[in-house]
Amino acid sequence: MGEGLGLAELQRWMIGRLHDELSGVEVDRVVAPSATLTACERLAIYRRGYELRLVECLRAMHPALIHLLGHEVFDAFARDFLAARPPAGYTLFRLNEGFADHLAATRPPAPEAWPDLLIDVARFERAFLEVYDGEGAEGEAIASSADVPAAAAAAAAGGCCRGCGCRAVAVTPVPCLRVLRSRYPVGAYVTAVRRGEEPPIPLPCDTHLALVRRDYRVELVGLAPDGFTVLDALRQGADSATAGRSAGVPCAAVLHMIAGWADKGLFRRVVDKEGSCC
Amino acid sequence: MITGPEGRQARLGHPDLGVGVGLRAAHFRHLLDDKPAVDWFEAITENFLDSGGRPRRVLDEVAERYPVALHGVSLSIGSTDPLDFEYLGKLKRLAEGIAAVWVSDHVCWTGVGGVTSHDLLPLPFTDQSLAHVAGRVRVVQDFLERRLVLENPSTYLTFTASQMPEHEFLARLAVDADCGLLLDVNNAFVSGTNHGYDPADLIRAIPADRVVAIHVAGHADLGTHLVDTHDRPVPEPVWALYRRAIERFGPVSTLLEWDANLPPFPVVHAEALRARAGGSPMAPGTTAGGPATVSNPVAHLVGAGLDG
Repeated sequence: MGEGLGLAELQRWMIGRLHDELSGVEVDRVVAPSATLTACERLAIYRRGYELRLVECLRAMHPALIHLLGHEVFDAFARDFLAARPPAGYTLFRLNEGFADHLAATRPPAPEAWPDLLIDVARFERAFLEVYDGEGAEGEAIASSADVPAAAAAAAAGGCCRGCGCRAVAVTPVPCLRVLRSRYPVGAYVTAVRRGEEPPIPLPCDTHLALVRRDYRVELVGLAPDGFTVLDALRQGADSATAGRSAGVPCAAVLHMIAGWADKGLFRRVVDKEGSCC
Repeated sequence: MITGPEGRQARLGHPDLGVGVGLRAAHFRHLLDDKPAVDWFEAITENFLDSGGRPRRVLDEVAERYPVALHGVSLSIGSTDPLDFEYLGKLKRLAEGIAAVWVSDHVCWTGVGGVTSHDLLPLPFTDQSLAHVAGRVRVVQDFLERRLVLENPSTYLTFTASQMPEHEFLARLAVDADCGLLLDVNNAFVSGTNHGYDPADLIRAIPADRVVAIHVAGHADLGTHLVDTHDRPVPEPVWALYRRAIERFGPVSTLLEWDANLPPFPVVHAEALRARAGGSPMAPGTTAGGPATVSNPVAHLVGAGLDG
């Protein structure tokens, strides 16, 4: 190949030039000029297009972050992220996977809380996309409160533990279940922005949420702090007894929570475990 | 009927589906509610490869009612990275799942060394590139158990290393790889203008019997070069090229690509239907597009149509 570049070498060279500064002499060796543009100017079309295209995609994924920051500042954050983590996969759907973590890693050391709001919004908007277009449970028979053992209701009414006789259960979450803990109540804010409203900027307030999809619509389920701990443990495979202990919640109350979450479509299955919970 | 030197049928046996429109998320609601009479749709492969949500459900519903072709932007057939068989496996399952009429992508590369540009990057037109791409096309076709259909992309630079014009590269590739061709007359016009050659060279050079489909689209004139923006009606010079293509190839499935500044579906469909008369005057009410946008083959991938 001309100028000694093989195809692989030429491709590595060009992909590098999408990120790095252009050197006129070097570019002239590889790229031909046109009647109207120099070799550098022609290569710069790809360079500009690369950045604009990816920033556009991040804009589409983060309408609430743009609502907070404005386009100019958002684009600066987006460009910084793309420079640190160039896309690697075949799908743009995963482009913003590390955006919230990148914002957290580059958070200014100042004591102000506002960077946490940006991080929370970015993390919520990523989770929203995952729930919206990930694998769901539509068309399947999913669990309901009727699948939680009857002993749960009785125990909840009569109190427990220590020999209460409650049965422990294990759950299989629907694949589109996500749980989020944030320092700001960003769920209502982001969904309002998505509806085209102009919500006020949220004030700090520790918030716990589950996101799930039912009939192809994303739904938010508010959680108490101990409920968040229980649900997160269940999601990671703990049974109800273990999940309850991790949050300091009595087993009957855990079963009551599970019954409520089952009716909100959070679980594919709820199954009895052998033996009682305590 | 056009037949090839080896007695191949016109369009490699694919039917002339008529005039189609690109399937875009912003139009989902209209398509499901109004069920407009459209000859066929083309879905962007990567929008649906991993979708388990509403986009995939809509695609399934559309595919039950209309012929659907899959059009990819990430196969990266010209890359020197190894082929991505996870991608190809998903592509095969998706194509089978919706009974895709054909599977197409672009004669380009999108990344190397594990980094992707999400752009359709140009290849140097050399014997080495030709052998490399043809070999990979054959592997992909064996894996997919169907012929691949490859499109000429819009390009904005040429390499000093190129040894042949684009039209010769495409013509030889189609024969060497035994694949189909998707002739994008807008891309031919954009590339021809940007590189100073006659875009009709492509129409004259490629094997007629391998042309499975034709794309039309709009582009932006930035003064020093054209950009393939898919954000406006098809300009007359592109329709003129389309008429020359139909003269040579006969009736071929034709599709309008419109991605940015996207008008309501009836406006897009009316623009597409101009192809039936070779690009008759624009229908009343057709908008002329907004400001030029970046060339973005994936502008519609995310964001639009989320109503969760």
